[in-house]
Amino acid sequence: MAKKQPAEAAAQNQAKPDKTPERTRRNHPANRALRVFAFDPGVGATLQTRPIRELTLNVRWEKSLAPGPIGEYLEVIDHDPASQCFYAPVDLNDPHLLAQDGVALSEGDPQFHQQMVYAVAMRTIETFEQALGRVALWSPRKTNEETTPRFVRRLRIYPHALREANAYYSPEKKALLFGYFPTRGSGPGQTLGGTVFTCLSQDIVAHETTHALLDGLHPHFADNTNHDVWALHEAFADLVAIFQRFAHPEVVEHQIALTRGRLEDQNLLGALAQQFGTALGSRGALRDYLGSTDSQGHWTPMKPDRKLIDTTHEPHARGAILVAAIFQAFVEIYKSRSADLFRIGQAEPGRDLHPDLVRRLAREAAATAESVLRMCIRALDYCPPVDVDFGIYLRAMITADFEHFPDDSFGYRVAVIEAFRQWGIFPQGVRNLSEETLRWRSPDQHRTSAIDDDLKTFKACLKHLFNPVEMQRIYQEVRSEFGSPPVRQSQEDDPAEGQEIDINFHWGLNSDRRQVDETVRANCRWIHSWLHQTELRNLVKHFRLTLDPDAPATIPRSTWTKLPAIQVHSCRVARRRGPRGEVRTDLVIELLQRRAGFYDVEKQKRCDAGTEKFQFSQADFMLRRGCTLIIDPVDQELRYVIHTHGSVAHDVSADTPLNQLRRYLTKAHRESNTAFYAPPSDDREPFAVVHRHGPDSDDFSFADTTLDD
Amino acid sequence: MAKRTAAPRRKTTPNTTPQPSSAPEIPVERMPAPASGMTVRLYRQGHGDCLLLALRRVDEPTNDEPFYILIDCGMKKGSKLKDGPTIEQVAEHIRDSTGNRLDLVVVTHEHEDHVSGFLSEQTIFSQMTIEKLWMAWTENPEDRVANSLREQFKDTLIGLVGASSRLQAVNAATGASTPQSERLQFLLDNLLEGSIDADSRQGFTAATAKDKIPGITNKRAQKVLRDRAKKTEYLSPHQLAPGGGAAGYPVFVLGPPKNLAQLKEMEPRGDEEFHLAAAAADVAAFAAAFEETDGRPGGRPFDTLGIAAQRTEDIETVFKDLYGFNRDDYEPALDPPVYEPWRSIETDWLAASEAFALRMGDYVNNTSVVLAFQLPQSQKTLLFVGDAQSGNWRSWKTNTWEVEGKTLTIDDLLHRTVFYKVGHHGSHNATMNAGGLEEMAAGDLADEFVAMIPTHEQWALDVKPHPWVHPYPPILTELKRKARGRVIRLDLSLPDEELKALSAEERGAFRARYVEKPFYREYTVLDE
Repeated sequence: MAKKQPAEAAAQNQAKPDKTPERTRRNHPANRALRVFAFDPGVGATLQTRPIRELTLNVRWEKSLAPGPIGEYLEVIDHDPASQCFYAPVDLNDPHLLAQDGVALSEGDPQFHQQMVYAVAMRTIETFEQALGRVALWSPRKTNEETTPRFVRRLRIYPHALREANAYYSPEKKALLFGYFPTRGSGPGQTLGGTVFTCLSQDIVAHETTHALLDGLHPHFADNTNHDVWALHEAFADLVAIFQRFAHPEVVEHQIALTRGRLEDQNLLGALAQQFGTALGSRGALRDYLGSTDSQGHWTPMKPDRKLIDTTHEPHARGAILVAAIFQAFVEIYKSRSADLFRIGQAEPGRDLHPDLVRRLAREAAATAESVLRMCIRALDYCPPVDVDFGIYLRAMITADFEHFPDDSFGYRVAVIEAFRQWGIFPQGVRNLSEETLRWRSPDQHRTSAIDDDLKTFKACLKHLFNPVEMQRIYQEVRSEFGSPPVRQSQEDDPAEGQEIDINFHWGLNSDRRQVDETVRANCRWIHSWLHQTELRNLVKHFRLTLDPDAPATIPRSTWTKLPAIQVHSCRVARRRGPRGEVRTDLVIELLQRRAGFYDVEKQKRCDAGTEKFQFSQADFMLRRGCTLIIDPVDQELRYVIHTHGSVAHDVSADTPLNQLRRYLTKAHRESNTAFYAPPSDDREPFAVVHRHGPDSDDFSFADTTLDD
Repeated sequence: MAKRTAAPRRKTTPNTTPQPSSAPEIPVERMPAPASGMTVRLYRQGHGDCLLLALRRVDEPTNDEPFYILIDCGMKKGSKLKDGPTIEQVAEHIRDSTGNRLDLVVVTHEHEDHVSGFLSEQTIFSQMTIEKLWMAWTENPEDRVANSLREQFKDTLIGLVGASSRLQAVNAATGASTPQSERLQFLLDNLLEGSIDADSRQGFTAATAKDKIPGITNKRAQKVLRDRAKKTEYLSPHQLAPGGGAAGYPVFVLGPPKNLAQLKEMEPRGDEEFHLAAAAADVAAFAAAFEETDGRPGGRPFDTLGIAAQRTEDIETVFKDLYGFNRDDYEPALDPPVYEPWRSIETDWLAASEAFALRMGDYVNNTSVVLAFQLPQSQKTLLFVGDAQSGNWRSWKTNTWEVEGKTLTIDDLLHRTVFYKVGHHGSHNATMNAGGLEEMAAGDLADEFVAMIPTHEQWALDVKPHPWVHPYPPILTELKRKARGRVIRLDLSLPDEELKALSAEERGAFRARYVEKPFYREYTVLDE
């Protein structure tokens, strides 16, 4: 193949001496312009939507982008197994393509499809990274044979993997699978029986990419432990897909002009997957968060319904409630931010807005959308690692936003709380819905005499965490008590003698991702040792953990300490605004314990008591408890302990959470049976089933929890 | 035998056909018709429906011969009860109980557990006199809509067979056995059973299946009956059955719906013809992958042929060729994509076939004939729903019945319903509460409600790979509450402690009309 790399990239390639004369050398561009459908091929097929058919996305310039495209984060592999072929990969570095912003829009050219999935997925990754201030990692690969999860550099994208009205993220394959199917409807630009490609819908690509990003951050958010977990996955993916499009001024201005600035009126910005929806024979988008169209074609705005949450359990439908609430908050904030503009512009109802006003309003809408989206993404660092629900997510959003913007000048938090209230989403155990009660409290705030001493001890130990010398001492102590850790234990690797124990929290947006992955794992290892020092062992109960040697036998024991195993699930960094406006970096540590659960209560008792032997892989379900610790490494202060539901006694050894989960799962299982045949339950592809659309998609949900480790 | 019957009657037609081989030692008594009302006998062959009804001929007062109706005769393979008869014994028992003559056979729908007996015991049935056969309009070979539905399901089956054989081929090549292929085979066996015998299914491929699949399953069983019946009639909803009913009893046809959307449990939208074609399209596109055109699979999405990769090893070769080995334009630090089986998607697309298969199973259930028999005097009603699922139930209220100038609504019928043959073995989505069970037996009739469930719970719970929860506990609880314990089950007997809610008098009256025999359970609804 001809060498098509730009000069700069080749210059960095040490193997080849660069002979380009000094004066003609240029830095590589910041972005690569790539053309995509603004929504999908259906939008833009009518005269009204024609101006917003096409968009040019500015995607981060990747130095060594190979044909595929294959870059640092993504590899697009165009295998169409139903047609038993591959489609030749697009080379975006081809000068002909560089000169014209990539392949021109075409439904019939697979290379354009490859370009579009790459561009949209990359933009989604960038949104995510910018909000969190650190590089994004895909969830590592876990196998039964290896104890150490393997780093996965790239998410794989198969734009033509399926022949059905479906698209999903496969956590097992670390891949996005997109389908194509003959349309059932006759929406704009469709002929009956014409092919609809899910990979040509910005919304669907962004939605699935977000699933993958969320899975990389919180793999246990795919564990079905209550009605909200999967719903949150879906809601979050929709939120990113919706708010991301506000970054395109062309689209926002067009829609603002159309609605005369009233974003609560029917428009394309609040609806998802237009073409997909009409192709399946419905009257509009797959999901519309502004309103709905009845059989007569009348559009009615959506009204908050406080009761809906009690009766809606299917993940997409339940997630839609959360999205509707957050979108409503967005519209309210936009309205309050733009009220002055309407007054200045003397906009009159029924008259088109002045183009300048349209631009200003669009800017307000874009800024609002960006803030709300960042609020949604940053909340992920303030959630417990497992068993999350909408109420917890609300509290996480409020806390995360407070950490970045201590004074809520535009009233974002008030608007979000109010919208959640109107949709009937209330956190457990919170007496009222004010910002102060919803924010997670720091240990200092809810300190009682009972935990006062514990807190003092903990603070003393915390100082050691960032002191390599102390850490070495602690490590030696723990080692002398439990002996050398066995090899091949991911959390308990024996570090090389004399190696400096340094909790590294200095990484961000420019770090090498494989290195970050190794850093995170090393951090986890040190924290694991640190937790096992004698002083701390009695304190782990505050984290909903147990190190009691007599804990039920269904809690796996560490091969090293022989105590109930604690998994230091993650240790990453989170940015926030300090008291004087400076940027601070917090350490986010996730701790987890698990316990094998059995539907048969008698069997559970026998296994708990150790009178019956069992294999962990054979458990009916897995209970996980734990917490997220947020620590300020500079002030060496424990800022938040965000734990799973329940009181201090409700760690993994308690029966209450176990019984609750069993009840939930057995009920969900019963409800998910179809009449004649039981539904397909493929534990390996949870999202495939959830995303399978069809007349009977309501009948599908997955039956069991995933047993991933 | 039922205690309260008409005056003992002699056999009016001698049993002319000799029954040499399997004549039972004790001659089977003829099943008598009650003096008024209707006797419903539920045979105990296993997981499946087989109901024999006996009634007097109201329209021929001089004819003392009971009028016999058989509703379905089938069972899932291997579901026989330990203490119950074989399906052969049941067929013989039917023959002997009816004097070798059935006035009416109703086939509710085409599933094995409702029709298998007609096929496996065809030697017995083909010797019997069958006056009339009732089937749903969806079975009418002259109905245009019904025919295109059958074509659509033929496509589904071809897609399933293709998917199944493709999966097996890949598994054979890679030495893997996936739960996916087991599940698919299970679904496929269920759908093909009765349609094509096991031997012909061996080495079935999409190409050969095309000629062998007769459109929809279990056609062979139907053929036996069609050939035998003197007259075949097709039933449409919101009408009285052809001729007004049976033996002078009005019979109301409730389902299957004519509205295709409800038949498929879809949200009704758009016009029906259009939907039919549209829903067929996605199955057809899937199935087209197993039909070759120009040496490539059909249904290709692009004009370009792409780079062919048929077998697993081809896929690996093409992958390595296209993506990144020995390329000079990769940054050395960047690891090229690697072909690894765990990331291959060779078979993932085949999973769609499971959804198609499930949809098809639900569809067939929804094609169930649903009949309400009315007793002429009291107008009490007996409801037989086959395996109708929610779409079918919901359709009942979309229209009314015109009888002798009067307009009847579904609620009029349900309010008079004192006997309910529970749908689909008591599964969770084949009995609707609101607009269904809730409305049954209103007012004075509330005390009389009785339900009958053809279920073999223990067997169903052992079904692999997923148990069938039949009956679904919340439905069973509700039925027991409503019937105050009088829930007649195929697999269990009904001891007195189940009937605690009844007064001694009521219990006595119920016992007088209820019969438990090793071969069957029987209950008589009196027309008073």
